[in-house]
Amino acid sequence: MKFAFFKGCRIPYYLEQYGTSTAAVLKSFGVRLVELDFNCCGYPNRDLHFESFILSAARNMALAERKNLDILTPCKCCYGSLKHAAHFLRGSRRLRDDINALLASEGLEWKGTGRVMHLLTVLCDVIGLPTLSVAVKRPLSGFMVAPHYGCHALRPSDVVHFDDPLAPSIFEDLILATGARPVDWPRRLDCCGNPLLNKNDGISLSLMRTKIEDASEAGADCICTACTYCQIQFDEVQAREASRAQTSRLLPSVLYTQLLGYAMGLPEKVLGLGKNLIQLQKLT
Amino acid sequence: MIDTLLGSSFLYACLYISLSICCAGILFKVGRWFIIDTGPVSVRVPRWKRVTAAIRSMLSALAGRRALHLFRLILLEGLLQTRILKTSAWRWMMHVSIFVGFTMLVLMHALDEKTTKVLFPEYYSTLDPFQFLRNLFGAMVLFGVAIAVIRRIRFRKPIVVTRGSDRIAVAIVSVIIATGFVLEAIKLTSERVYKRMTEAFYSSASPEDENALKAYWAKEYGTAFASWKVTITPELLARGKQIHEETCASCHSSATSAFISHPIARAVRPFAAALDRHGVELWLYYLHVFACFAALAYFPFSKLFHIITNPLSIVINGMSDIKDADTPAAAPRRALELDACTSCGTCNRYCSVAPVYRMLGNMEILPFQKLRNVKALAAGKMNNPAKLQEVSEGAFICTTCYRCTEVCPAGINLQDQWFSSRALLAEKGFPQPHVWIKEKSASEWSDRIHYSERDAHEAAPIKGRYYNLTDDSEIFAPCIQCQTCTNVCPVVAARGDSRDAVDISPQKIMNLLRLGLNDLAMGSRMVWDCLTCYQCQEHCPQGIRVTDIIYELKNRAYLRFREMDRWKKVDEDAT
Repeated sequence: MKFAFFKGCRIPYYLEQYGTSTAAVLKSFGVRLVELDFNCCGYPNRDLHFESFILSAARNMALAERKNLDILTPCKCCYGSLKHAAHFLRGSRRLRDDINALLASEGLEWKGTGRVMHLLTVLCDVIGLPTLSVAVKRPLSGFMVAPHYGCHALRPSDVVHFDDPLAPSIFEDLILATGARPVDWPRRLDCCGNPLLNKNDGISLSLMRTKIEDASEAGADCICTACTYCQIQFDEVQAREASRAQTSRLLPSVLYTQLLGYAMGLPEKVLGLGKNLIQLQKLT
Repeated sequence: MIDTLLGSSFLYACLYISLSICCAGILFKVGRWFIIDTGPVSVRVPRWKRVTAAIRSMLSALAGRRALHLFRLILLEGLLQTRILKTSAWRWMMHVSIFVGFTMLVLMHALDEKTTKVLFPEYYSTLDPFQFLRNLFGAMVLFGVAIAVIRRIRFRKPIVVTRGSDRIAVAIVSVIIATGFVLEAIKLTSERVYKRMTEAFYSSASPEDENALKAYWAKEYGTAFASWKVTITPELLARGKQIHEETCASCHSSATSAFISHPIARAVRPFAAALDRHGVELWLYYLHVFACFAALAYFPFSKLFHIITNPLSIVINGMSDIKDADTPAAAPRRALELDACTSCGTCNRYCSVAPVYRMLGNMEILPFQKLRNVKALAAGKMNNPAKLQEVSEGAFICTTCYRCTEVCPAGINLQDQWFSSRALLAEKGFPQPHVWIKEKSASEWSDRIHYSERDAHEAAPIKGRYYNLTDDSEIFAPCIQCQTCTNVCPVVAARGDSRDAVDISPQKIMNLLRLGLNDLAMGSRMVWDCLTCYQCQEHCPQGIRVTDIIYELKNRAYLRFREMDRWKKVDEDAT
């Protein structure tokens, strides 16, 4: 099994551990990841300029199509952006022709033949929960995990086709596979607040705090994410804000690949749990 | 060895003048690294602290195991230039050819009295292997220069931007090497030089012997003798060879090892007499020497200065934590990096937002241009608001994906340059769009739209849109004002203090569109504080694409607002 690995812009500098842990987990299931000459997924510029967003996303998809590969991305914002672009390209012939005219200068063409998949979908539907359960060497029994879904993979459901937008279950199933217990928390489908970071910190941080409190009240030992931006928000931003406000009440956040990788007994070097700013106490 | 026209003391004077210009230039450049201010004003440190911080970090680099790392960096990334190899084998070949060729020429040829003679007591520049090596190193430099030129022709704007300084650097190096080759060739053919040498080193016993040596040199070295008619017999050549071996061969090995100059000598031989008459050999010598002097004096101010700045930048960034740049030593490092950029364009080739540049056409988006902006900002040369707006757009469209930093052959910490220049731009009143747009209220923006469009006499409609949700009443007319969108909106729910509160709710946006008051929605906080979480769109019982509408409002607003002079006072009564 082979995928074009779409890391997105944030992993190399801000969240290396997501890249290494994803690669390690997938490798142990025999999934090969190929890194192509991708550019930004287009998401950060969708706010400003529609055509720029479409060209960015289309170029990435065309690169993968040229290699006959489906795209696998661990980031929900990249996922949503690529899915949206494909949706718009499919919907407008004029847009498709104009974008392809630009891509042609690099010998590329967006045909819409390649699929875009999120990491969780690949783990749950392609590799399969039974395979995951077999690979788990040290089940995380008794560990309470609050799955954070992330908006851009979930909604709008008619574009992204990820899971049931109102009652999704993929993340809970995947957590169960590690032996941990998913926590049911009212705000599990809400936004982490990261899209407004540095744009309106008041709202961004308030959303983050509300969610963290909600997860804590539901008895979670940690929040679990499967999106680069969400993890940055719950780890780096939470830690930074806590040190600024001098509070010690912190709720750790781990990436799903770290959680699964830990349960599978993968080495810390690739999981990078130590690189998270808020350390998990209970796991070890 | 040459009768110089102007005397050797004049040449020495020129050498020392250019050498002192070079040294003063280097001091000036290094001094500036501690003076130039980059990054936000609020975190600037006093200059003396920058000096002490730089010294401290230099000393700490020499301690213990770090010294080993330093050695490795200098060897691999400095001398072997592995950073260039990472992205392009051709560029690496170009670079190594020029670097090795030129350095060796400087050491063994220009400084032959100081180095080669000391190392090899039997040294003569016309002896092998030195004669061969001189040609080899010269050829290496020209080979490298040729790759550089081809690269610059092949990759053009926006990937590589070739400026005057690039052309001068290539020109000066080419002139030095080319004049060297041609000078050597002309000396081989020149009767005048032959005469000078024989007068100094060979006193002939008979005209017969003189002819014999001439015949041998004419054949073997290509020397052209004007009005000299002698039948060349094998005996004559044999005698010539004998004299040559007795008198000349100890300093002159076979000219064929000069594998470039010798063929050139063959080619110019028919014109040798004319060249001799006009003293071309001497003029070429001066051209060669003065080109070297000029290069020396120009060195600190030229692109060639990267021979010093690149290894420094590589070592400094290789020795420090690239993510933890907030120290007093960061200021001089950033200033040094501005001198280290060779405008090679590697960053542009790997830029993650290059497609955005293609669409918006704003050069300031590309990293190479952004670094030039950092320079212009530091020099205080950038004050035009329209220009600053473009620069800010570029600075904030960058996703800080880190790729340019990873590939930069000069090892520049571009990531840190981007962070610090963003902070500076924000300080100057040019933050990211989400911030500057919210500095005005929705109605203020609406006024400005009317004002600027009346000012421009006609409203410039945004053409060529691929979808049109905000002007198509079929899209939003089904809204029944049930407020579901507003009730599920996390931004509306998160309204804390009044500063953060949204002005209008999503359902009111639908209402404004129905009233045709799109302009009033475009600059609203609700639009610019939208998380794009798609709760509203997912939950809308009427299936209205609320979030997509908000996206479109943002897109339309941005294209209009970025063109406006947002500092201009608007006469509200007149609108």
